[in-house]
Amino acid sequence: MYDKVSSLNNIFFTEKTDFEKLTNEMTLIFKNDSKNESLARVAVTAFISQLDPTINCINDIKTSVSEAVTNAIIHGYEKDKNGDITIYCRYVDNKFYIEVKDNGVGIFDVNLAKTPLFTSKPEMDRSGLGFTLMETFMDTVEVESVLGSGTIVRMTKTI
Amino acid sequence: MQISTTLTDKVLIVNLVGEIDHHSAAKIKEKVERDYMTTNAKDIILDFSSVTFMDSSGIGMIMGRYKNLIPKGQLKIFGANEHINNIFSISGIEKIITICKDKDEALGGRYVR
Ligand SMILES: Nc1ncnc2c1ncn2[C@@H]1O[C@H](COP(=O)(O)OP(=O)(O)OP(=O)(O)O)[C@@H](O)[C@H]1O
Ligand SMILES: [Mg+2]
Repeated sequence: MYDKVSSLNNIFFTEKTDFEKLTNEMTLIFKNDSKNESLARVAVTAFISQLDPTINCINDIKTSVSEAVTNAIIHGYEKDKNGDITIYCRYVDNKFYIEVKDNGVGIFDVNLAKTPLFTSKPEMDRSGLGFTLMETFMDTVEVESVLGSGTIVRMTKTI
Repeated sequence: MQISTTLTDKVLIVNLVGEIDHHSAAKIKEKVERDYMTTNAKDIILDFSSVTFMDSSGIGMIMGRYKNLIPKGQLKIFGANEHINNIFSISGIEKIITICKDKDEALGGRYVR
């Protein structure tokens, strides 16, 4: 009798722990309108707030999301007025993952693009620091890009 | 983003409230360039004390104004928060633009390098 109760307790405890494993996912699709830069920041900030991050951590992620989304709008879609940008994010415990995807022009040379101060649009008040900031503020930044079909930026950070 | 300007002694003080990104940077650029011309100002001081967020678009916006301003005048910034100051140092902008703690420092050291 005693044994039964304690093993039941054990089962309950294990199930409860599994159930409480912190995990969540979000997908957000929006148009390439510069108004949506702040929309993306607000949505991702709300999503990671579930993990109780520090202000510094929120700022790091907010800035990186802003950089990736702005790049999709300015470079990916250039003059295209009707492009979709997809953000997918997820966390498992304190590991945060985010993907920012566009179906735009793609990047000719990813290594060159990531070089600090490199910009293909110097005439537009760009400083060429977007990727540098993403790499500074996130733990990992990976770029997958195909000319003519689009770009995916994948980033992770432990919160 | 709310942008307002005041002119003191040929210095255009630009008060910025809110977030600076690619979307709002375009508005700041337009307003600052227009007011700089119409008031016949010499220097520009950007008041960052109510700026809650800035990404690389802010650096581009500042550098763009700086390029248009020299050799006529100076550009200074004051009141930026810790995260924004961090972005300033990563960008190296502090080497060319004077980052001040407060308005007094920005105004007082106006003609001192
Ligand atoms: N989604 C994208 N699609 C196509 N090209 C891109 C994309 N993202 C970045 N690039 C290319 O990579 C370059 C570097 O990007 P990065 O964000 O570092 O600088 P920037 O956007 O030019 O300037 P800043 O971000 O400082 O305003 C861009 O100039 C552009 O040529
Ligand atoms: Mg960029």
